[in-house]
Amino acid sequence: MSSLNRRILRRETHSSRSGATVVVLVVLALVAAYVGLEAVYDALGRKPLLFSPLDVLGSLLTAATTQGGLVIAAGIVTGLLGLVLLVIALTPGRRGRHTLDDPRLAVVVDDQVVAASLARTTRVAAALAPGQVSAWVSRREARVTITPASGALADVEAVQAAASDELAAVGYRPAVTADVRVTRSGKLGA
Amino acid sequence: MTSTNRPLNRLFLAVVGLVFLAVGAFLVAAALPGRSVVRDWIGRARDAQDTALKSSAIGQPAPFDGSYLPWGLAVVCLVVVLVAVIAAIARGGGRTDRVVEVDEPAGRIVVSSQFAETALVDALQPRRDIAAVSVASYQLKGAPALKLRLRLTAGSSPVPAVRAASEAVTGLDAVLGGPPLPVLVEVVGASPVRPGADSRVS
Repeated sequence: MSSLNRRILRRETHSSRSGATVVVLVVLALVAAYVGLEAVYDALGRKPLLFSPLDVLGSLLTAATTQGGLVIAAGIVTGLLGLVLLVIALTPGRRGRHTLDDPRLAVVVDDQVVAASLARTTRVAAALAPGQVSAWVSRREARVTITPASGALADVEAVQAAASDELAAVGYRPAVTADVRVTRSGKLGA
Repeated sequence: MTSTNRPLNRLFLAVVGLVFLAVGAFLVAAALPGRSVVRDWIGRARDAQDTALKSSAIGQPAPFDGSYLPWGLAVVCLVVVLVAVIAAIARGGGRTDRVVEVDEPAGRIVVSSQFAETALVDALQPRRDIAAVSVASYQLKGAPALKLRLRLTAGSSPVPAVRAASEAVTGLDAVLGGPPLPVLVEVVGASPVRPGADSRVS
């Protein structure tokens, strides 16, 4: 696979972090606009709308001496916000997608498609009615839950084999292993 | 496939996060009970600011009789607003309307991306396991690339649809000639909000 395709796949399976960036940029723009407005009010010698940016150090000093708890709380909240932003910046931000090998194309498949296709394959293999099988896919695991008809036994091994065969035949990357479970209560009239 | 600069996004978030952490630590340190070095420093900084404001008068008639420092702050804020708004808007992008652009001795050859889009949609739309096809063209590292989005009917396996797409793209390669276009295939599922995507089949 070409390096360009690898780059495309990397970009398509990871979040761009544009959402968080835009939110931070918009907040930054609003705060800067307000501070700039107050600075102009101050420069013209007018009364501030809420506070003058030039009084910040003095107010902080007063607050830190007389209302220490409040300032400490504000500091902790600010620090936590910073921590959240750092986590967003440094975590990989994987999207719920798997890739498929193809000689010509760069292919990404939504996990929703992986789950729906797996659910149908196992449902057909176990000869169950629609709605009796549900599937859920994470990065390396697919969990298939079957709800047998009340009183009937589910052939878990056959379903497990069908699910594993399907996943092996398709060859998602990263590889997904199937984990079939049977609900404790059956379904009436299925 | 857009041309958003992702490392820059992350760098920006990390820098803002570090600044927030530093400000938070500074606030906590300033308000801790007992004698605080940070509080003394704030006091000195306030005094220095007062001195600077008094000694930086513009010396013009009112209302321009104050210091020029608030004006400087206002200008800095204006620049920050402009940069932030431009950076927020300049996202995505990178779309193009050409899949082939070659200079030949006889002249310039341009193939509209509409051609590739129509060809791929026509080849894939009739398939029963594909509810909808859409194609978009992007500029990738200075060269055109295609993004093919296949919306499958619920429960269909992605493999046959991807194989069909691969064949269609190989056919397109033969028609267009030249080096093969990079093609991304994005297989997405039936959506309950899109009536065209049949979610009843399972």
